[in-house]
Amino acid sequence: MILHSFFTIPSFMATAFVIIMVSLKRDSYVPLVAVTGASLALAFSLISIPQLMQGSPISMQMEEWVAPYGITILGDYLSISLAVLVSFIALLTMTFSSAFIRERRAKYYALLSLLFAGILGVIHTGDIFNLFVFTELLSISSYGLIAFHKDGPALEASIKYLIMGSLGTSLLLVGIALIYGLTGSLNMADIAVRLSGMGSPAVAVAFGMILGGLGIKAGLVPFHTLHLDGYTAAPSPVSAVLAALVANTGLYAILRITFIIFSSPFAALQVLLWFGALSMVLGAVLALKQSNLKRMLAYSGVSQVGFIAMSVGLGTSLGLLGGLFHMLNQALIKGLLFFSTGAVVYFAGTGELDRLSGALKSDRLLSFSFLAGVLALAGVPLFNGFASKWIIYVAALEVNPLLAVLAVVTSVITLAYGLKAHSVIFSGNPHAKAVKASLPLTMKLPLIILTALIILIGVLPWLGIGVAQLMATGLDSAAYIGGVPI
Amino acid sequence: MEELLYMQYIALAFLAVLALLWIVFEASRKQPGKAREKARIFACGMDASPDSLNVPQQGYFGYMKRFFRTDRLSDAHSGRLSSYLAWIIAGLAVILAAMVIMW
Repeated sequence: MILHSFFTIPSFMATAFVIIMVSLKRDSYVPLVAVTGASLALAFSLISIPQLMQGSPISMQMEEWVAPYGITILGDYLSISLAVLVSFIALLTMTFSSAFIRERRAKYYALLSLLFAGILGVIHTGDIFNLFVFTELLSISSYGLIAFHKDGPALEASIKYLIMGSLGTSLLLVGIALIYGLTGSLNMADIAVRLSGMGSPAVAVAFGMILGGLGIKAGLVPFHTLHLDGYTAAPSPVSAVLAALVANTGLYAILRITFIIFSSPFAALQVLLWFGALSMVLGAVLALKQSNLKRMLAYSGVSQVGFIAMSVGLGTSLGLLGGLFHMLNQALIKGLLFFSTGAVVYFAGTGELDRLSGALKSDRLLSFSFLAGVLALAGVPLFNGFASKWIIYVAALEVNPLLAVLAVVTSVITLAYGLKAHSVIFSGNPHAKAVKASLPLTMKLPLIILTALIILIGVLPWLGIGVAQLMATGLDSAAYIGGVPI
Repeated sequence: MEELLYMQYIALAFLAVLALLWIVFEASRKQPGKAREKARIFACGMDASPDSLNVPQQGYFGYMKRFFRTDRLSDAHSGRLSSYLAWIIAGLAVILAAMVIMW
């Protein structure tokens, strides 16, 4: 059977190619091509949902090469849900960028399309070396996008991102090489079968290397430093993608490898639990001290990734459910907050809170969107973040009440820095002349859609919980191995 | 999963509190004349500028910054690549040690 959502990857690759071709004739058509490509990808991911009803997981072999030698492409509830999410955020990002990016559009949209292709490749692949290749694709596109502004801070941030990102992918490659040396296979299901019962310390070292490499991509403390400068220097729509999707892709890869290949070992769950708890607290405390809006959100991203990792690391089905649900919610919330921040920077010309006092007092839509994002991030009832955080609190309480207390305190700190930023920008006393903002429709639309979704899932949390429950079935090792040809 | 049902009650309670606050807020706005009169007496008949009445937004959370004295942490996040890499190497050492010991 041909998996429709697989075509999201060639859709974005073809979009990058067409963008370059179109830009040679007429640059103004580039955003339209990008939006069309993202719409096509979203359509492909959506039409693969009915395929799952016939049985999950669905797999296909590249170029008819049989498993375990050929590359396996896989679609289950976990990968398809994330493919829909990625394509949806991609469409919003392309739409938002059409007014935000005014120069060198072809390079920007082509790199962005390749970034989405890389993310979707990581999500769909059933081959561990292919996972590395797609991780490199998304990383290399990120380096170019972070340096997009070509000024001092952007170039410095990009070089740092390149060095740390390369360290991460090198660790991943060393881990994969060790696994290949031990099992002689690169097919994830085949590796899982061959590794079962193998207690060699080399397996532990290989897993540690992979966890370290992907931890850098996910932004878990102490690997969080990758994202800090990158999020701050990149154009805001790119920061939205990095925070909402790239970090989640790193986490997704960690979960796939931990649960499917290594059958969720105790050591891995403990590392996720405690590094997650550390990320959660440290990210929030450091976010409170920031004076740059985007850097504050970067630390906030570290904190939210910590919530997800801690919840999964609890090792219970409720913890896994909370982690996956928060992964979905966090993507929407981070998207909304970075888009709002992008709109603020677009009008005020700065992300420094000291210079943003009351700058956008008159813009009610922007104020409401940002506030909705902040309240959802902090887990205030009636917003989507509340539902997933509540599950995390309950799951943590069952395992270790101290972690539940830490999670609640972190949420309070999140509310403090979020409201601080909101009050400064939208109700502070204007230092300079307040900006009379009139957002273009292409920037308004993503804000309205994401705000509506955040409130909808907040009011009807069972919608999100249902999706997260289906996603959790994708981490059942036995079902995965049974459903994929070896 | 039964514990999750409390989520709905908390959301409903939150909604009720919001509704109550809104009613109180609306009720207090019904006598604008009196409120304005009271403010005038408080200001001793002088016009008070908004700047002198508003809480300074920038410094409002300053005490929180002082509460969380995390200067050393901030130093470790000052943007130096060497300190960023040190975080990563330290994390990798901890992970590898944990894996080998607990596997």
